[in-house]
Amino acid sequence: MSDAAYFVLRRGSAAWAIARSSVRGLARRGERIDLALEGAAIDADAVLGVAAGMAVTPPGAVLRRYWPEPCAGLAVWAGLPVVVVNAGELPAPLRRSEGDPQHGRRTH
Amino acid sequence: MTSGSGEGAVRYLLLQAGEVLCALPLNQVRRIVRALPVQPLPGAAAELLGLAEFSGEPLPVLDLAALVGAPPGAQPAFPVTVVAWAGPPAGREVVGLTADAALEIVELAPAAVVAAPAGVVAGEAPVARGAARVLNLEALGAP
Repeated sequence: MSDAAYFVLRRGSAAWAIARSSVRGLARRGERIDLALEGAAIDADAVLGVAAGMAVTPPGAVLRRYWPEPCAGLAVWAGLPVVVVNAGELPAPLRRSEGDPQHGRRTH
Repeated sequence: MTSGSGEGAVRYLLLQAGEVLCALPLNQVRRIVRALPVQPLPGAAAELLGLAEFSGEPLPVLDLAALVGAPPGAQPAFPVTVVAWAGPPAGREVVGLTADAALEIVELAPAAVVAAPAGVVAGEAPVARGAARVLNLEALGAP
């Protein structure tokens, strides 16, 4: 069990978690939420909550084989399966494209 | 239980996956439950339906039909998720397999299984309902 706290957010069809300590700021942008990270940003459909004491399971070989994206592990929060990600190595579905005018924008 | 018996017969769970029958070694089965709700993972291969929650743990869920290259069948009346052990014994992990139905337990003699090249489908064997693809989930973790 990890003592770290995480922001749990929804983006697309999945729920994601990122360590609260790696988030520099939060801002609403229309219907979406911007999470500013060091050198990157995530725009979430919604922030679902903050999780503390979440048990994070390292990604297994099966997950890595069929979803070859970087992730720190998997967890369950409030009955939801969650992908735990590292701010320094975001999986492609969470990364903004370079063409996005909001790419890398600091929001705090 | 169908008996294909003989010496050293192994017990399998017979599953319907699309138009294909699959035989999963019973010792790799942990639980059979009504199909779990799955959250798709963007960018995942077709075999990975997504993630589910099972007994408070995150569970990658695979589409058994896609895994064995089965054509889709009729809309299943009672789809199931088979919670199973996958990967080699040293790196065993729990996965979910979505199937159209769990049919019965069968016994197959090792000699009845016609081996296939190494992979998740270890071979094929005759059962009362037709021919079944015999699964080997130990191969799932291999790249």
